[in-house]
Amino acid sequence: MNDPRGLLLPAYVAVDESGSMEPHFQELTSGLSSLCGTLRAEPMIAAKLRLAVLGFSGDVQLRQPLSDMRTVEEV
Amino acid sequence: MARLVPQPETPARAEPWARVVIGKPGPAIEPAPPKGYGPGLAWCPDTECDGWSTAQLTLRSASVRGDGHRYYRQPRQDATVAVVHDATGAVLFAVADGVSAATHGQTGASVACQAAVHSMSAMLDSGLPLDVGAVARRAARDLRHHAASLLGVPAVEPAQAERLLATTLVAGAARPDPDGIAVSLFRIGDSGAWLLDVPRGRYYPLFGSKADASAVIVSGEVSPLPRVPDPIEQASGQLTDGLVLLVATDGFGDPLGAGTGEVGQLFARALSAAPPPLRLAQLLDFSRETFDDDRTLLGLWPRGGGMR
Repeated sequence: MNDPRGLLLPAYVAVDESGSMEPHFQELTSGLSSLCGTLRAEPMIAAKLRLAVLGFSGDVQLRQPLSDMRTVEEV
Repeated sequence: MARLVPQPETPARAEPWARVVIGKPGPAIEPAPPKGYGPGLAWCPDTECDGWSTAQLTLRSASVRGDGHRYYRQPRQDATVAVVHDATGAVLFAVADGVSAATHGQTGASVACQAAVHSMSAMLDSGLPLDVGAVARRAARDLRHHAASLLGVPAVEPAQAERLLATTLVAGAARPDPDGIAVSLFRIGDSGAWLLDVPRGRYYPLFGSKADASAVIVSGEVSPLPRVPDPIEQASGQLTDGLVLLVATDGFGDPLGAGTGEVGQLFARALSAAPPPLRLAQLLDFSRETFDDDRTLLGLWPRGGGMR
């Protein structure tokens, strides 16, 4: 660490997007939204956490790159 | 009839105790009081500082609660103790960082610092050389005894003491000798020590760092007291003119890094001579986003007067 500019905690949410999960997509979206809202309410954690969302089914899609959730309006 | 006389405008003055910001500041918060103080637990004020000089050495220390602990109502989990051994003129010092996962890390840090300094003082009283293994074992023993006292039982297993009181420790002595000031110290865990070369503004770590310069992922795992490693990491040398011995917890060591960035430059300037203790505490409480751990920094400056 020559000149550390921050101590970040990368976190990855892996979301099952296969057909069998389709009945739960609304709950999933709601859960992710709730997670983001909770993070924004925790300033010390939000400053450090970088969250990514990956959706997987037949393959893997990057739904949200590693992001500072304080600046993301919607996942 | 009285006349209103226009007053000269007061020149705008910078707030002298404003928080020092390095780079992007962290969230602005009002510190909340710590929870959980009780019998047998160390009382840890938000901020403390100390400063004094012997004929050969000037000491400054400060310890500040991190913003993370201030926000979540946790106590400062760092501790530091420094005393003079009058018969030899040695300054005995200890810095510790209670492990967050331990239930009472702040008490562990306090107990370890006091045990280490008491143990070193007793060795010097007896005319014995410092035996760092014995100092570390004494600290570990006192942690186990304190854990047993907290639990109200005669004895505890080391793992129980670790769950309650695990802590890092850096401790040592700075002793005047014919060549200057002989410094010897040891550490358990990831707290650190450096020599600051004042003319060059460079930091020389006395122990290995958490990660090499190319590391992307840095582990926060430590092997703390009451575990006593074999061998124990040790360092020694002469403290001569133009050098400052710095001992600190990772709350300072992490943002310092190799000392070549903004944090390193600021402290290299500020510590070129011993600052007033309150100024050291103010500086150490700098705001820098994501660096929200407790910070403790102890410095020893050699004084002149024919000691070189």
